[in-house]
Amino acid sequence: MSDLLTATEHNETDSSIGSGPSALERIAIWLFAWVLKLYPRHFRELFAEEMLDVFSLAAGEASQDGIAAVVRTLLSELVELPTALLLEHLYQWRKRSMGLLQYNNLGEIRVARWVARCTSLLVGGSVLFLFLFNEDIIQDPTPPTLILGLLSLAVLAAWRWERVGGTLALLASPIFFISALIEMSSIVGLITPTWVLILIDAAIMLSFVIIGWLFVSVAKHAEVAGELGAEQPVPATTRKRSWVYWVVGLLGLLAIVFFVIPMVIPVRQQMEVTAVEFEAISSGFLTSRLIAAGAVVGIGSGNVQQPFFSVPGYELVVDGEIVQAFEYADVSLATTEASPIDSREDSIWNEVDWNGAPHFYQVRNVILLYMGSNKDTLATMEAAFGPPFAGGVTANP
Amino acid sequence: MAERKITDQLPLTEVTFFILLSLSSGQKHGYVIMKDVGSLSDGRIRLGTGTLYGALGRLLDQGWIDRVEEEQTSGRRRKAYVLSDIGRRILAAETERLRSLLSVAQRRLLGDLA
Repeated sequence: MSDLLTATEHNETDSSIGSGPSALERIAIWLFAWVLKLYPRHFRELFAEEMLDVFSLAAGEASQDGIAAVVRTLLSELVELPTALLLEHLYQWRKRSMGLLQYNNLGEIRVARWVARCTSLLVGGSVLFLFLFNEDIIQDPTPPTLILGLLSLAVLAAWRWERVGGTLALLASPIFFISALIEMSSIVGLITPTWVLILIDAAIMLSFVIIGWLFVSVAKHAEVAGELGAEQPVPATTRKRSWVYWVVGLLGLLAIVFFVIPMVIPVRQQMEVTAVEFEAISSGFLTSRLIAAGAVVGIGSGNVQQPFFSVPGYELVVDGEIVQAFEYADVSLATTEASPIDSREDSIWNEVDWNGAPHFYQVRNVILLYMGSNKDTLATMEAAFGPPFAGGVTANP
Repeated sequence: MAERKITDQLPLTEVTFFILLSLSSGQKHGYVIMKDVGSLSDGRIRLGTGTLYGALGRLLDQGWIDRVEEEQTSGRRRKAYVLSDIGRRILAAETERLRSLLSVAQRRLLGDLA
């Protein structure tokens, strides 16, 4: 063992007396010093200086074997970093929960509580605000939007019931994500879901997870702090540093709120609308609705044209019956073209040679036309898209 | 440390065992412990600083080791670690446990071979 000690001291002496650390060593040490900031405060106060010392010695020794050895030393530290960080944060958190760390953290708890509250108000409030003024969501809420509404209510309720609201947000966030993925797959049908949409939903989930986690954590720490009491003063340097971290954290969360959430929700809605503007995606959406209504669905052989619609359509085969789908660039165009049908203008109803009793349905920017009287098909169409807005007879009565 | 039975603390993890074993020969600085553990385990266990100081922190909390100041030849002082009484007893108990296991295994294997 003594040879190891001697080797270490010799190494250290070499570093201090010789030409000093190389540029690469200095960079590695600088990187490592930065990485140390990620460890919990109590751990850093106790060990950061020593760890840097140890790493400097290891890098110094490695430098004798060349640049690759220094890089290897740094990489081996970085590889174990995530687990080491997680373990230390959990361990320090558990120690604080058990009251083993004898310093007062009431100030941090107060700041954390207000960070959680302000963030929940901004995130939850903005989501609910968007929902209240979005007719599509109110009239036709999907499971993800319902869960998102619940999440928003949960984080707002956490102002009063921190643990319950926070836990609810934590539990409901992954459910939202899963339901959003399911909805996404039903919208895009045969098309693979885009990674962008998945990332957006993940960002929403993560925002609510962070807020929920913060509330639960605040509740837990407040409970412990109450047991410890306030008689132990916080060291001034510690207090100052913790405030810096909280301010940085707050700015990060505000960035999420102001940049991510406002972008995310409209983009998500836009992507859903965009999704039905393309034939394949639209047919997938229609198909999924029909399948959900119990139909066996296929895509027809080719394009179709009707004199009263300005766009070409395509065919869906619903339980063996042909249903034509006409797709418009947006909902307003589809509604404009549906209007004369709805008002039963003679030019449409009497001048067209119908193959069967026409039934018209409008689904967002798509008008569906079923010419026939098959009761099962009519029931399926109604179950999938609601009652027809016009039709049922071969001529204008 | 609370007066828990020594046997309740066993078995030790490999890292803990080797760190205690390293300190059994006297106080050591973190870097020396790191090198020593590598040497004792025939290079099998290569401790990073995060793992080493995480383990040292827990051992300090449990009272199995103590932290002392060590003076360098350069006059600079740095922290070193030393085995506490309870740590030494735990190391002895773990060694005895391992010796006992080895003994049982050897008897059985030798008996089967005989």
